[in-house]
Amino acid sequence: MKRIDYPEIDESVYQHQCANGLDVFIIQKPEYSKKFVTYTTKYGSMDDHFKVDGESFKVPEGIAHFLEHKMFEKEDGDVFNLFSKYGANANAFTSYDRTSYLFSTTESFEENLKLLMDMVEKPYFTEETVEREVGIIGEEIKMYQDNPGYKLYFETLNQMYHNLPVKDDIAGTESSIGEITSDHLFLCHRTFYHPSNMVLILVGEFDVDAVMASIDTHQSERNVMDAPEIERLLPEEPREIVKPRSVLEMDVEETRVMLGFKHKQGSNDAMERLKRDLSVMFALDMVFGEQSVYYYELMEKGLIDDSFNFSHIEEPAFSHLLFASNTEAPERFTEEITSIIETVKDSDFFTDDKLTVQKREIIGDYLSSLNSPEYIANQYTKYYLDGYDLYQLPEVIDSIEIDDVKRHFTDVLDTRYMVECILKPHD
Amino acid sequence: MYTVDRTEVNHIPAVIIETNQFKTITVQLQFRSRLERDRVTKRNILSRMMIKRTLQFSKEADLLKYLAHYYGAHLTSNVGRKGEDHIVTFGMEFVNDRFIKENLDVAGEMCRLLRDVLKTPVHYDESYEDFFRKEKRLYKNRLKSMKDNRAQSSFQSMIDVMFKDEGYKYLSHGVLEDIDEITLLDIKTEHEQMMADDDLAILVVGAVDGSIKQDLSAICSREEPVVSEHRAYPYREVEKVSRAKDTQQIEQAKLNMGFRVNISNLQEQMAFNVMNQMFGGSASSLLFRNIREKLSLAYQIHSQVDVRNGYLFVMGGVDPANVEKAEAAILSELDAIREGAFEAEFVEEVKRMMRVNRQEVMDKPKGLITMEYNRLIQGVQEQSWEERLAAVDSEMIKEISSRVVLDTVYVLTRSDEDEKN
Repeated sequence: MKRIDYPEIDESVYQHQCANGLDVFIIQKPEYSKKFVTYTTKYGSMDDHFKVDGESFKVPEGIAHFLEHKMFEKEDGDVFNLFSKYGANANAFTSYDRTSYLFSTTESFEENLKLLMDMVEKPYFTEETVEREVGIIGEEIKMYQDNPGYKLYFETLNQMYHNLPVKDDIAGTESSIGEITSDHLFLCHRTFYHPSNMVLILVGEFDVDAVMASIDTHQSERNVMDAPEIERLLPEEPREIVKPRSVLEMDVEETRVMLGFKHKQGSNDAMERLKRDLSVMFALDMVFGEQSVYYYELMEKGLIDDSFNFSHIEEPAFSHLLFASNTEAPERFTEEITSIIETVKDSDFFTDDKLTVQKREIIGDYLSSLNSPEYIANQYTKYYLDGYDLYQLPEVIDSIEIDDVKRHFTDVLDTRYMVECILKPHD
Repeated sequence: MYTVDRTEVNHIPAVIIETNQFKTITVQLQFRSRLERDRVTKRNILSRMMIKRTLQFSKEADLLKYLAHYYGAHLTSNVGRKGEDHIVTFGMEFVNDRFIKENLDVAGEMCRLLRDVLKTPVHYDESYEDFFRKEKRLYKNRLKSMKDNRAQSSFQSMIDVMFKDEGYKYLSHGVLEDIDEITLLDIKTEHEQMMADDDLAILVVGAVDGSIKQDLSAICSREEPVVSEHRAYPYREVEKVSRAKDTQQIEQAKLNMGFRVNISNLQEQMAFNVMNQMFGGSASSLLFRNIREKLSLAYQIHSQVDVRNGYLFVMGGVDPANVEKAEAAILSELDAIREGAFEAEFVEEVKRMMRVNRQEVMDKPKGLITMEYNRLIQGVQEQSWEERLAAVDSEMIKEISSRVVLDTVYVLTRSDEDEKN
């Protein structure tokens, strides 16, 4: 077991790899009565086409999320109820690239940890229980269909991406989940829930030696086969977009617009990706954030309101940037945003002073987030799976220069790769 | 691990919660008044205006740059409800000096800024008309966009039916139709009343010591204490179940049900709280286990309570064809509780979960503040929260649930025409 101290932020982490390949991190948070644990597999909605030990498989869309639901059900009932009995709140979520199972508690920690590990490690599926789940997830899919923000988001992604499954709903479709069988579920569990593809993260105040020893014992008692060789078969994706403009109608009060800028796939180097991500966010905050003159211009012109927001996503397989707002004049919104982008590109807008302010702000936000065990566990996992260390973020932030900000802004905000999606009330 | 100092600063009650657990220090100012239609909408506008400009920072961007310079200090305003009261909260969260490599008096600066916030808007003349108009537009848009959230809008519709001539219907976020009529002068009057007449409290949590009182004393002062009694709405008997239905082009119907119960003391509030956790307030509740998991009648189903006022609400997302079936199933789960068709072990399990959740809340700065604020406005109690929870048993659950009465059923669903398509 290795201990790493981060004196600048007053944090320490214990790291250990079990003999079966499982990585375990204990993040010590003195004085917290809450203990928060996540058990994560590097397996998400994008992994529906893969090769394992030489044989290739294409499984139905939405299966990672379906599997997540089914892992809570065992022969003797629902594991949720067992967590409750032991005084823990349990949950799980699926994203593009991972599935996390988690619990938090202030009591019976050992029992809950064992429950979580057993639940995730021991699958139980029958045709009958799979069929019932189709009904539940079908309702979940329907619920999202009534959510205008969600519809706008997926339509925008579909305008950007030709092939990459990032354009598909994480939950799949009513028809795709109907194709899922227990054999599919066993295959995906066997392949992606191998300890060498997973990470266990514990945040709270622990007797580190005792907890690590108990995890080690539990893992060594498992009958685990050799790590499978997994190859994810992601389709080729050009930078070119599918469709520049789309208008949806729905039974809503407000018109919304979303702009998407598709980026070329990021570097294979994790640090490069992180720096690009941070640089783009700094640039966006400087140009479109609430400290910017442009933000108030858009506001004065009545083109945006409090719902205006932007985000950047930087993943190994894809990268894009989104703007969204409720607006009465979606076309003018798009014109103004693109005109601001061109003006900024042609001027000396980005300055060291602005960057310094942004850096101070983000460091404050980061420190404040470290009050939350949930934030630490989820972000530590994400950073770890992406190949970096959450607790070294201040150093990375410090290393970003104004030229990085300028370069990445120009690069990503290229209107040739822009899509516009409008969602408005029925005429 | 924390210590609480209940004190007073310039005749204003102050609660200082000292702990080394967090990397930040949080200061909150809570203004409490009665929730009335005439007041809530104005206060929503006022509280937003207050945190956007000050005398020193006449532009919003300048104020935000100043906060960013102090390592992203967060200045926020919020509105909420407790019992019959409306609460406006101003919050300031900033990083503990220990993590900053330069000499900045962050706490002192942020308390001085809060002092200026309370004096904002400074001008109530023409120079503020544009700012005022903009805030009204933004506020209207916020309320309008809430209507596009089906769960939220159908809940609001149920509240409108259930409390048609009662103050409770004016939720803390205000009334869209009232916004246009409000003038800048109304805001000025409301501002003056809030400063003079509201029950105000200051709460702080973080690695602070006694010297923080010096900083807090800069924020505000009063000639004498202003104390207002905290109370709930009077109980009203249900004469007949109200039913209402609206249609929209949607995939999933929303079923909302409202219930009332006469609650007369804190022990009953606790029993009602435990009963709700068993009924639909948690993942191990009867509604979640039976309506969602066993019968697959809903994806979303949960219940929540306003324990002070004695209201219980059930919200479900169900297939339009199953609305009636789901309603009957929900009522039959309530009957099961009334008849005592549950194990005593289940009551203990729910109580355990509530204890754990409360401990978890105490691991959050804002959670600690909320808990201490509740203590402050409830006054000294004979029994602690833990003792009241421990006292709840199966008999109490049966008793309180037998007095829970259905008041309103509201359904948002697909029209028959959409059904045919």
